[in-house]
Amino acid sequence: MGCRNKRPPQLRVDLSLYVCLSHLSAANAELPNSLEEVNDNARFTIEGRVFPLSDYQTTQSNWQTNTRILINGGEFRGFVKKDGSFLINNVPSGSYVMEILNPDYTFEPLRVEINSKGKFRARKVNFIQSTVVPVPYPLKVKALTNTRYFQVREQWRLTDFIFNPMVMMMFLPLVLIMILPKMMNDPETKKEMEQIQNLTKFEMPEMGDYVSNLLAGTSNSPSQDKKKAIKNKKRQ
Amino acid sequence: MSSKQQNRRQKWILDNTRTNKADLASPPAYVSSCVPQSHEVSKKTDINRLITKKSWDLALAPVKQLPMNLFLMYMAGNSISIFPIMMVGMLLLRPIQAIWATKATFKMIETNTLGQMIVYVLGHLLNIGLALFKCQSMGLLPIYSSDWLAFVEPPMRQEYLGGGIALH
Amino acid sequence: MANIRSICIITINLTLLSCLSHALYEDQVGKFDWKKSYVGKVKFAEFDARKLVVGTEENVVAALSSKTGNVLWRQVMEDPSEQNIELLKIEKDIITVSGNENLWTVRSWDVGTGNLITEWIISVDKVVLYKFDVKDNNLYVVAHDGSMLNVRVFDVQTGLVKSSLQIPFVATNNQCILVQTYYACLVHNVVNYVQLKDNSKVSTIPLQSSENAKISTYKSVTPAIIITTSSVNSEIVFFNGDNHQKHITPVMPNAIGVIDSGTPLIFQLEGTKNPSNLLIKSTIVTNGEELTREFEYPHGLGKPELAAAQCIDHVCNLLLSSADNALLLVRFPEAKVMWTREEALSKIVATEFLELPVSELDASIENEFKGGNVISMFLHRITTQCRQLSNLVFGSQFLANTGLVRDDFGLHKIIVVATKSGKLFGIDTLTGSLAWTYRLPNVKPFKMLDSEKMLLFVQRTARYAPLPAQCTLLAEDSITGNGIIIQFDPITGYSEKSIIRLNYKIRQALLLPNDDENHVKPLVVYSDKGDAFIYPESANTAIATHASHTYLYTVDVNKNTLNGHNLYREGENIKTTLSWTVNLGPSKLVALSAKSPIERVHSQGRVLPDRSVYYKYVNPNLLAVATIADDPIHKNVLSIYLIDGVTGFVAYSTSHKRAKGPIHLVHSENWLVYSFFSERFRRTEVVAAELYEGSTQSNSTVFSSLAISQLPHVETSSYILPAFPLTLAVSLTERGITNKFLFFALNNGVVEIPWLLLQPRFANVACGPEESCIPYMPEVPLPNEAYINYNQTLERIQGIAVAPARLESTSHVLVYGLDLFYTRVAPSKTFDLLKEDFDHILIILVLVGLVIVSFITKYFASQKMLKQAWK
Repeated sequence: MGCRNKRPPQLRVDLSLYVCLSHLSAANAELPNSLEEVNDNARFTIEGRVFPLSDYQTTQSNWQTNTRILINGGEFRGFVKKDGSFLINNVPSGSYVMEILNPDYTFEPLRVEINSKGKFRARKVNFIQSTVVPVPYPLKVKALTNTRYFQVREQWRLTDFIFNPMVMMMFLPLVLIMILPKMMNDPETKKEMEQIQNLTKFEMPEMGDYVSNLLAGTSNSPSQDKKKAIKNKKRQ
Repeated sequence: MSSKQQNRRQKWILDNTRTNKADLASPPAYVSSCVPQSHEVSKKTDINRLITKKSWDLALAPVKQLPMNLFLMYMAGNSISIFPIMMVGMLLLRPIQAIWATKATFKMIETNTLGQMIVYVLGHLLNIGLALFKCQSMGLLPIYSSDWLAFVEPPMRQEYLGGGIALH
Repeated sequence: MANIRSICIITINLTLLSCLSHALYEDQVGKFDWKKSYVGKVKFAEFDARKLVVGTEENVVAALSSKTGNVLWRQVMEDPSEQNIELLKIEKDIITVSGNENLWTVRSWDVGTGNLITEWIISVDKVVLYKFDVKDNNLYVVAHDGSMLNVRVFDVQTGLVKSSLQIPFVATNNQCILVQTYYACLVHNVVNYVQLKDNSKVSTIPLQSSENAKISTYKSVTPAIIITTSSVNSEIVFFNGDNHQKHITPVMPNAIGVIDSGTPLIFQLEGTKNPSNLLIKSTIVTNGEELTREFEYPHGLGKPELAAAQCIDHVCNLLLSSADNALLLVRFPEAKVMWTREEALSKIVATEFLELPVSELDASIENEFKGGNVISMFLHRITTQCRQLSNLVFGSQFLANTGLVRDDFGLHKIIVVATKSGKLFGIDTLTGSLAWTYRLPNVKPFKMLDSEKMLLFVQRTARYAPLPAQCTLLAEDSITGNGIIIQFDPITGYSEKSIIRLNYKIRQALLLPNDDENHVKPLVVYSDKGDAFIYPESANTAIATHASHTYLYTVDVNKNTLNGHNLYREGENIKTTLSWTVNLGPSKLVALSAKSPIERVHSQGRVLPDRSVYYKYVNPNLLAVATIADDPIHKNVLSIYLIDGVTGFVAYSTSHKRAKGPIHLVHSENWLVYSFFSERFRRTEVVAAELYEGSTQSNSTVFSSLAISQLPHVETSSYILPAFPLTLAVSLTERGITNKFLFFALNNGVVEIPWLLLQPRFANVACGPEESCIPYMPEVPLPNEAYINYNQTLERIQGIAVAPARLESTSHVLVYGLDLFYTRVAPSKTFDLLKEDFDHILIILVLVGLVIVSFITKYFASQKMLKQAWK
């Protein structure tokens, strides 16, 4: 279907009582052009072809039946033939949004514009911006992706298990109880620990002294030496 | 117990002052009047002083914790997750427990420690205040009307309405 | 730089969205949802090998498996309100002609796969009656304008005109049929027919009695008609060349012809003395030999008709189509019903979800305190609890036997459905199986705007244990147009009083909120004359006190007015007075939405970032009305009004220029969402409007529409919906705590969109992930994960019914249309239920492990203590 470029628009022509019709079909490519006339009631046929992912290499055996083509949400409907081509008959001039719906593939919607002379223009749908990304006509629509409807369940992983708070709760106390005392027994580590402790030990002025001095020792404040001595004694 | 200790301590005190100082001439440039007087008194006061000092140490402990707690709370941040919540909870609970146990804490100090007790309780109250402030900044305190919104009962409807499109 | 920013924003939004949309896991498929596919009332049916090809009044072509009745493929053509299927024939392929009076589409389909093979159209200018038939790959199109037959013969495959003829044929064209290449008309007391070929002449079949005579096509491979002279008597006339030949014996009007290994047979259905049985009679055409079989016709299906038949090696499949749109396949010599399809379910006009009654056991516990002394009560309690214990042990079997029993979470419900054909169904939500059916003869739905509806009310739920639940359905008598009323038990489908045909037309009805002494909510039916009737009549006194608080509104679509009525009691009767009228002027009312009466609004306000409350304007009496007016400058103007139904007070109104239908409204809590098609931008737009009272609540204890003093503050925002919505609905939960979901029915299914995404953002309030607020996005995202029907196609969705479960997080959703789809949704995820992948084993193992470890450590600790003591 893609090979045919231009087709006369389908017109309503009065022949006799019956009439009819330039019916369009796959086999019937040539139609008299002389009958063409432009009026408001002119009806046109949108045509194109749908390709599932990687052209026929589809897992879905009968994707044509499950694919529907809707114009403006169902104002007009088209069906897909075996080779993927489709026709939407009897469309008056105007601007339409064409959706291609398939449960397994996602297709991009297209905007098809038909002027009253039967000229077709197709572009990508963009509801927000007015930028025009033209698409060649007759339409060739490729599936974007396989549609994913489902969330993926989280897999069980060892790291998840280990960092699980419950597991941590079980193992951390074990580590603390079993391993830390062992480390303490080791004399070298003990020394190291002490060194670390010494490093962090500072001679901090004792606030209690100040306050007690302030409150109690107003008359005769003892010298610092003595206090130190007392303190040392106390420590011993 | 404490008096016994005192006795023992007195036994072991090396007291230089007991020597007869009148026999000896003062070293040069030594003015005896400048020597601090009355060691007996100072000894007594020393013990008292120690007790008061100890009691004040105790009383001021919560205040001393305050800067540390401030730093901790600052580090914890305002996000609500398990550790900040645990920290805030500890900060809130510990002072309350401590206030309950004030009497027990000061029992071993025999002297009148009312002032220290007050300071001690005040210090803990300060800590509680800090914890509450933290709660507030974390948005844990129900002090806004929006916090009680979930408990507001929907108003009773007075009128009842039914109907629809006229079918005929 | 700007790109990077936009990418950042998009990723933030996407992450937010992924938190908001809750897709299914693949292993959850079918766990709590089910789908049933329907095709509609069968208009044409033909067998082809192991398939049954049907063309239906829903303008659908489908192939069913003749073994199981399942849909093998289905092609949905244009909207049946505009186009109808006129012909379905199987030649090599399936040929269908569908269309309206001057435009037809001829399509041929592959029988095996349902693929389209060719499609072409016939369009004509002159509107006369057209007849179509296919014979030998030629499509005969016959137009009859009273004196002349204009025949056109098309090649079915290409649509080329092969020949056209004009045959003079004088007849009033009201009783004419085209049978293959013969055109026959009933004219007074004769049947004239002509073969459609050059220079053919009109022949005449004389009739014995012309009273009430009818002609119809005799479904067979040979061209023949049935001339029906009475309801039980008719004749088959076979055409052969220019001659005709009558079948020797008279037949039933619904006779059908089949060829069984070369022998032509006639099948007929006859009634028997036993009303539940039917007789199938097969007659060999050539010698009149008869074979009859009686079979039990399933109860409550209505009058059957033979729609199609097929014989393979003396085994015949007969397709019966019943008056209530059911399809049955009967295998002939065995006379066995192979399968039944309830096609009535493709046209649902009313739905209601009902809670199931408690099991007998639980009911007996409820009865405990009803009488007797302490000892008997104690014994009663002991026995019931013993039985409960035994049920717990042997449990599920007992439950399965009793079937429809309430579960703890209210996930098992029964859906009561009324269909256009007047058949009621009870559908089990767990399996989708039909619990019961009930057929109402001569009933049709009311016309409501552009849809058809019946009114279904739940007068008593199943909560009042010894008393059964009670539903009431209001519909229209299809003959007189008067109202009908039927009360039934929605759990069993049993109706005590059967159908009551009223002697007045129903204008509206409302269910009063207060129960009477039998726990029945009285139903007030308002007639077209303005009288109010109450059902049950005994409730008259019980509601006396409440009547004055009850208001009724009616929307007159023809006059475009809204009327409010006040109910009051006068003597023994309920009367109404007109209390207000709103005239919508020349515009046309297109949509109306009221709030669900069972909806609860949990949160009374919105929390602002400074942690103050902005109170919602929750008016349960608010009606949303949409009208469209023609405007010379702006084309169509859509107006939206929020009108208080008690006082007629217009709380809010807005309008959109150059807007087009379809308009969908949904109205819940303090907000309104509507969608329309903007002709200016050629896109569907969705507008959300939210009503607020302000930072103070005028009255926090009672709400009265009569005490409204000020207009609500309205926040609005509009969005682009990149799709064409068919209907719109909102989720409903038990206490209204859970977030709301909006359901947009699109052409490929139903999408759930969180209300938070549409909720108007305050202009002066920051919005971002920290405030758990999604920044405004002009286009509403429709992720694939949000399709609640995942990859199952739902065609022509008519409506979405929503009901709360007892579990706060969950609501039931039934999507109806050509397909029936039920699922459960949890807008805020199932926060009140453990996740189904919750690892019970892990937690048990960890706990056991901890206990064991604590004992072991205790032992070791004591050992160590002992050792240390010895040192």
